[in-house]
Amino acid sequence: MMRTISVVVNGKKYVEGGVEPRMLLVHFLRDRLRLTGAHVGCDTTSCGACTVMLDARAVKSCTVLAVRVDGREVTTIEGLATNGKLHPIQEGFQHEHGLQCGYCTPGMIMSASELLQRNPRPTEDEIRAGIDGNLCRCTGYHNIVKSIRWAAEKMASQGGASASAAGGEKRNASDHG
Amino acid sequence: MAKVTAKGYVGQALQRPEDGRFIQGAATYIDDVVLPGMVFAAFVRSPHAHARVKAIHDQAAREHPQCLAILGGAEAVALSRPMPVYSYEPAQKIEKPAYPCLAAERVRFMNEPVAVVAAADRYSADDVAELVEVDYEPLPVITDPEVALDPSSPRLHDNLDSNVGLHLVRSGGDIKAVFAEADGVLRRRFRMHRHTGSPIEPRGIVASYNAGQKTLTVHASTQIPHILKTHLSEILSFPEFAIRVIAPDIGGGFGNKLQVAPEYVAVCLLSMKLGRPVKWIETRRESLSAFIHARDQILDAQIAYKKDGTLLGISCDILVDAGAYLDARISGPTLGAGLWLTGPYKLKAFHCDMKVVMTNKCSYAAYRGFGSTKGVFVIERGVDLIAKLLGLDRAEVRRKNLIQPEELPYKTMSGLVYDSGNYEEALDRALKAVDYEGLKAEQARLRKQGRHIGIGLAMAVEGAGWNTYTAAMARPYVPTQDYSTVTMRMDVSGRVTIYIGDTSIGTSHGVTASQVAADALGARIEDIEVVEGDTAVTPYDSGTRAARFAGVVIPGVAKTAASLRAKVARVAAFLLEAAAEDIEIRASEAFVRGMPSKKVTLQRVAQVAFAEVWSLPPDIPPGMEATESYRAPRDSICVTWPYSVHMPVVEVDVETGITKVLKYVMVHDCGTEINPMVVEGQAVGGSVQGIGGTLLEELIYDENGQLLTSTFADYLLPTARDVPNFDVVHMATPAPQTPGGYKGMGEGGAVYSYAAVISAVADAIEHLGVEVTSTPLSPKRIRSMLRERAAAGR
Amino acid sequence: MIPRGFEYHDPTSADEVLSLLAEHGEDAKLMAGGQSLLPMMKLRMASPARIVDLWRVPGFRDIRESGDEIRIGALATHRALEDSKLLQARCPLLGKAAGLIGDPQVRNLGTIGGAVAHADPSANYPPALVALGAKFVLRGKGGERVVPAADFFRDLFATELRPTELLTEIRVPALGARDGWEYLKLSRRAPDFALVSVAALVRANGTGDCTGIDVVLGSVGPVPLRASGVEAALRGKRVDRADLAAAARATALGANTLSDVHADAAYRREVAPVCVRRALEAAVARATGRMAR
Repeated sequence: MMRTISVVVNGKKYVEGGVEPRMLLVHFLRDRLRLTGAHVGCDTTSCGACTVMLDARAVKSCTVLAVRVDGREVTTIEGLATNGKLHPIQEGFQHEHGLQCGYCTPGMIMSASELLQRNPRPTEDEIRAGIDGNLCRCTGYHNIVKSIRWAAEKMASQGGASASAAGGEKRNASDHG
Repeated sequence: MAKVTAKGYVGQALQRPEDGRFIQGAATYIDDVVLPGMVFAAFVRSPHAHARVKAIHDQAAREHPQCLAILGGAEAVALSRPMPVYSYEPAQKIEKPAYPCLAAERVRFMNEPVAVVAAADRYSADDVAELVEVDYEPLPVITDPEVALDPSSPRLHDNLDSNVGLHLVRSGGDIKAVFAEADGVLRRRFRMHRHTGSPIEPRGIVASYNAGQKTLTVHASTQIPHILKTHLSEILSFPEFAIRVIAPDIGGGFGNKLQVAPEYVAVCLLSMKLGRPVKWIETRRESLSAFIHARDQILDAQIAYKKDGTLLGISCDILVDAGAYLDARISGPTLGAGLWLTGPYKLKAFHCDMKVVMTNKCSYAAYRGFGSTKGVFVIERGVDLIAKLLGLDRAEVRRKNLIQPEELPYKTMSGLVYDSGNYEEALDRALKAVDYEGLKAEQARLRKQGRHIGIGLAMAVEGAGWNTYTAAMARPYVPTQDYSTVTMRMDVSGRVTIYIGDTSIGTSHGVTASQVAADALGARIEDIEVVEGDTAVTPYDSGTRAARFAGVVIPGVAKTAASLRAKVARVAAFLLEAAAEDIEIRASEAFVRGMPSKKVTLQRVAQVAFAEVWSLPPDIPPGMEATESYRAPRDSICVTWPYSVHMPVVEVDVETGITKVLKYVMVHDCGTEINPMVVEGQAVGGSVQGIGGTLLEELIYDENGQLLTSTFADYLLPTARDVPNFDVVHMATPAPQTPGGYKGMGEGGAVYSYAAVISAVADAIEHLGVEVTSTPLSPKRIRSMLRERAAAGR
Repeated sequence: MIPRGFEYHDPTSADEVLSLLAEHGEDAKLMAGGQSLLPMMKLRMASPARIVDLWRVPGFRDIRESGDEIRIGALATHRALEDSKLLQARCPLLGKAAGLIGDPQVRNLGTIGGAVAHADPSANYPPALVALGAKFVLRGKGGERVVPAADFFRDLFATELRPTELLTEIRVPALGARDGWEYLKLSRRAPDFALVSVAALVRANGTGDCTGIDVVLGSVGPVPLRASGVEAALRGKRVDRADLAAAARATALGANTLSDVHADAAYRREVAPVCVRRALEAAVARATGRMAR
């Protein structure tokens, strides 16, 4: 039986009907809403190329049913820049050559944004642990770590992780896990 | 944006202008391509590794309301020719087992496709495919390449007299004499296991047949758009001019996407059947089981030496486990393994007998390193073992045998002609950067505490750019020559677009080509755009492969830019009433040397050349574009010769067998560097593939030909916590035969890192009485080696 | 990659959940975080006809103290357990076990209740909960029952939970002031399932005698395995002088030792005592560290 989903994505409200319960969030975002920044790279929830924020938490959108986001907020890579201005993490990836083919990059950036929200001054080990769920085949992670560190320093100099980072304010104690 | 210095853009670590779309999720990969009326394909695949196909029952599938078409093997075989096979060099034997796009009467590896369905949407396509039932009659399965070699084993292909698909023999010098004069001969079996490149983006295609125009437009995740077009033309008997291949943004390739995929052919056939666009996006399970495999070779080597550590010669029998069908490029990694056995050393003789044998597995094809990973592994490991036998330091044994700069160009006994470099200096810099002596002392100290660190050492000369394969697909082989053809067009606004027929697969062609062109033309880098991948708008090019970009394509870019510059200078000279040879161009402005106020913008030059043609003299043609070609030097199989020394440091937890890479130092020389940041990125990325391919990644078949590691849950790619930081020390010995001195380096890292990581693990544990001659070096295997040694010791 | 179709329910109360379970029994599969169920459905290894999704059911997500017990809602995410200051203070073993599950994204959605009910033999929670002496609250239409962890895990992916029941709460005793603990996960990569895991609790009295010891292994058999031989070797001994290596050698895996491409049975048998020894060393260090204060 088809469902209708009402969801705010990148600050914009969408109402989509005729959604099969088995539709995965990543396909809902990509095929229905034409937000193709989240990518599919595997079928075992391993690679993280599909990572988006659901109520301000990083999730692998390939392993979430689309019907679950009804009434909630999603932020994708397309929603990270504000008014055309790149997020410091996006800048960091360009500055430090944290991408080569770019396929893992949107997911990597979304995971990095959660990492820096939780821990604005991560050590190198903490950065690497923070991207445990994101596979990259091109860079060997070396420059990804540098990119995230660059972003952390920039964000710290801008006065801490601002509210505009990684969209969404919902960080309730009662998670809608 | 970048500042143009007096030195120009080349050599600067510029950020990539192309990054914008990637960091904002606005790139166009194959699954982002949507065409009107597009439908989706899904494949029906064999669960058996070897079986006769008795019957296909597709009634239930056809009755599914979203099913649009089903194509089975018999129909596909009638409508197409088999996949191409050839040898890069003359071979003792090359077979052409028929390699169909869909299996018709027999399947030969698990997940070989037997049918393809088209459905209205992505989800229904999987449902429809699942409804197709196939009756199989299982046949005996061969998974051991040595068993496949046995003449009494069942044959995988009835039209062949054995399972050997390719046999190559190469020699240089007098190997018998060399063995006779040796003080000792090291004899070992080395083995590298099956694994693969596994880009994070799997394969994908949108094939669109237009029945009215009789044209076929193919968007495909491929590294070789033009060559794919030529192959599709042959396979589909479709006029080549009526095919257009467009490679969109590619999410990694690593050589794997050089494949002319049977699935791509089948999807084209489906589109031709339906007369509408058909999209197929591979799942990871399909990718790991039915895309391409690599690395899996057995090398029985003998290395002759003198007791003072002089290396005399190497003889090696190589067995390549090619899987069920011969991939078009299989001779490449075969030769790559064999010819690289001589290393950067002065050997007096070389002999190599290479056999490619077929088994019931997914086919072996190209992966970064192209076989040289094995050649380097064997000679480097051999040198280490010989050093140990003789009680000599392994760095010193290398030093003693290295080709010296004054001996270059040097033709190895395997026929490679190294033309530049200082291998000993690179070795010295690496030893210093890693603090070899200090680490050895640290190693001794830690051993007393029961901790085992290992210092790896591997070095080689890499061949970047291969003079073998350009457009010679139809013929079995011809000695060829790599070349590039590049077009540059200025538009009316004065901005310039470079058209190259290859693709970027993470290889940063946008920024690097722009840097070179901007310098050669005198334009600002912001005024340059790079377009790749579309066969309708780019000149013919053999694609992104064999690390050819810097050594073969970039000289083409420079040459074309120079040609365009000359044309710009002619118009500018006319406008400024000066002589063309007195025109300088900088920052997109042309001016008269010594009179900087007498200038004209490139925009103005373009305006005149396109829109004020009436004002130009008759001998200056209208428009502003140039197309030039660059031919690579062909005194050897490869074009340029970068080289590296890799020294990783690992710690092996001998109780659990788990290896951690603590640090990684490398010295890297790829001649003139266009963009050091790009160079480092490639070298580090390739090295991490070596770490993964040695310690983590395994394609494991059981005796029934079932692939046990067919998802990322079991095929383990390195994560950020599995790799260290990297120290890259740059050297730059310009390529003597390449204008600009550039050497390719896209395979850099991968060529050396397997040998280096293996060497590090060996250095950590061989003192416990084991010997490391094969991979994987998984925890299970390391424990089992140590356990066997302990048992034997009792 | 695409799951087969299913009937989908997203009830908004526990009662509604129980009614659905009562009505559909084995046909209905509960979905909590979905991080174990959905991957199986995407590979078409599991195709439940009916999904009862718990995400709209309010509550069951708190982590709170109740006397000497910590009560954790079944729908609390691994992330919530990892971040919980209460667990860090009163039961750090469980918080650590949670923090070592998978990767950050999976921890943001996966729940302790879902993981426990799924009972993957390589999951992190089961050996930790058995070692802690946890209790599970199972609710059916007829009422609630409380099952000790040791009785809950029956076989590979099989638990005491009936098809008509909902796991609502996990109760763990808080650790004592002098207790040492360790959760050790041996894996090839950090986000992988454990090849071998060990949950160790060492309770010591004021004079350093071992008054209680729990050593439970995960990922070696179909269900968590208590290392009774190891425990017997240490019970009553002085923890700071005990021969932990000798005790660890008493680790004995069963005939049904797990075996897969990453770790065959021989490997697990060899490595399990090593992991036990290391876990004991860390646990004793914590216990004696507390002693020293």
